[in-house]
Amino acid sequence: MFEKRKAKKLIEEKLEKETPEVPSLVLKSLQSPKHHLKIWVIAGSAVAVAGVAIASGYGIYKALNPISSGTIDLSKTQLTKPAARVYSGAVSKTSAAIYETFAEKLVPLIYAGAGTTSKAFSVFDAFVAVSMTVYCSNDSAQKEYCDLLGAGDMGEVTTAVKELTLTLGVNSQYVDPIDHKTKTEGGASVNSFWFDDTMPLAATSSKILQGLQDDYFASIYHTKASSEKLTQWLSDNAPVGFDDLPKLQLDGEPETTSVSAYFVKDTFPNEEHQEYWSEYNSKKHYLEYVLDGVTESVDFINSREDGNLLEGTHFTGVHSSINKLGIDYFLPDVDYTPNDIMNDVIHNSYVTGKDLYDLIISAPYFLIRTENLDFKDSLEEMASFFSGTLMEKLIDPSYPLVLTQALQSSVLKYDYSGFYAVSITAVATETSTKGSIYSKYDFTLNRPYAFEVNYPLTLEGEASATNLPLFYGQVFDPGYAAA
Amino acid sequence: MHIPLSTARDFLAGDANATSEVYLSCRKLLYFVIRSIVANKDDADDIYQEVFVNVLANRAAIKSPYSLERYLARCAQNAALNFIKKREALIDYSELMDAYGQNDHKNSYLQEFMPFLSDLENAVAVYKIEYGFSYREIAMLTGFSRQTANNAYKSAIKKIKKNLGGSKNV
Repeated sequence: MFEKRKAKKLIEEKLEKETPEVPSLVLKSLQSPKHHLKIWVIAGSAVAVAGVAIASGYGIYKALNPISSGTIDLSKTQLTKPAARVYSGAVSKTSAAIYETFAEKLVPLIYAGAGTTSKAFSVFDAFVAVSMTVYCSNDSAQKEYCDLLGAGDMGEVTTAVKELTLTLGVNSQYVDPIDHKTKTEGGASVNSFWFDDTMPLAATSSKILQGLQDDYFASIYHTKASSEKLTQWLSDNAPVGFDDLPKLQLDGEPETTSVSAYFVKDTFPNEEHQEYWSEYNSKKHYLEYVLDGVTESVDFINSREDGNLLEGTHFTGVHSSINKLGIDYFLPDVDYTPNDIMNDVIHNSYVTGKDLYDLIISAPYFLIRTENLDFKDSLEEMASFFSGTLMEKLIDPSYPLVLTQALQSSVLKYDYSGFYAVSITAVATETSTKGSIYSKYDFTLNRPYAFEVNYPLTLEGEASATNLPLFYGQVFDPGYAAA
Repeated sequence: MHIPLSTARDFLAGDANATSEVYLSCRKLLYFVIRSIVANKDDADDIYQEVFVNVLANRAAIKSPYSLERYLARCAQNAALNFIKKREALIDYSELMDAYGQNDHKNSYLQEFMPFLSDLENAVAVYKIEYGFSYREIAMLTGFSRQTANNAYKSAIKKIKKNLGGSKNV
């Protein structure tokens, strides 16, 4: 949110300018502030001198030497594997209602005031990742979540996740009749949970971790998640035939991250597939598509189905089927946009017309890449507990964690092959709120510099540590060949 | 802004470094809380100083290190409300519920943040955008209901988008 950042900057500048200096009475009772890092510059020599404590050296070394994407061995930090899955096909009315309510509550907030760029939101993995986070949180958060979704208790939510995963996300495979290769049809859901294992765990942690493994089918990693690790994890867990994967950029390495990814693909029946392929291959099968008054040619699927119109205020819809999946299209009336009708679409606020038609549906191909869709504000608006502390059933409540990131990236394609989608959602909590009150300062040692290596010791009678120097040095040529 | 629990514990134990950290973390928030209620700068500065003196003198009596910044914000709010209550000879706080005024532009300090917002919208925007407070916490600090705080924030965001969002959002 560009405007929010601008507003935040304005607020910070104003607070900085207007807040008075330390009052004199208080000043007397304050000692000199603790400095975490000494930084000073020797004027005229262009040599920066930095005191770096040994204690922080390891962290810096690790930060500067990330293992590159594709080479991270996640198995070393994987605590448990998810429970085995067997296709269920049975989803209770209660579970379906909980899931649909989640969609109805959250999705309108995400599309509220949406702009003019194509974007998609995957409800399934958002439901799983958000529910995992709530599952690890305190009783009052769980109660508010259940009340919101119309669930009797958290057990019903967990059952909904489980039943839906074993039906929509169990990953059934089939042999393609055209190329005879094994492919994935229907959906596959893979989940993971990442946490900082240096944090003290709550008394209920083992039960919670077991539940995440058994009921949320999550792989548990006892390490903090990062963008690189999630990229690797998604790649490691993508079913056969899912090569185009979205990238999710986490901000830093949160203390806990609930992650869910969803893969789904549906191909047209053989005859239709061949027909659509030859139309595409002819390079002269186009639909005139108008955007902002500009007309462009777009490949499209032309299908016929007997069906009724879906009649809403300011839009008309039709139901179209691929093979197992269906797509309902909603076309706004002239002078209206998808933003105007989205709320009605999400809430099924339309009626099925009485007349049956021979529908000739012309639907353009689409490719929607949604990157890092941020829905943290939407969650906070949906339920107030998302603004409070979370994860108390897993992490010792004396280390309060708050929601800092809720992100989703996805790829959706519709073409002669049918429909293809992969999405990944991460819901993260951290010990501190984002947004330091301090200005950023980039400190890059990109020219000769001096250094002091020191050892922090707490001396007798002193409350804070004193850095005793061990080495002094000057670096001109670093003398360390690049890897 | 967030005070780590270890710092909060050290602060309550009287540690000087922790006191510095808490002071540096909270000073802007506390001043904002006071100044958003007491618009006069000189009065607000006096209350601001008094709050710190009182907090430091009585910190041993603070029972819990959790959410220290929220506790300090409430201290600042109470001090500011007490000041107005005395000045206006009011009977109880309920008469201060309109401290901001939902559509008012009375407080010149608040107006300098984003002049296109009302006083309440400015206050809610600062609490939400800068400090990440929940609507429940904002309601406590402003005296309005959670729903009012929520509505004020939504309205503020709309206006922010319109006024700071560039040509696309106009």
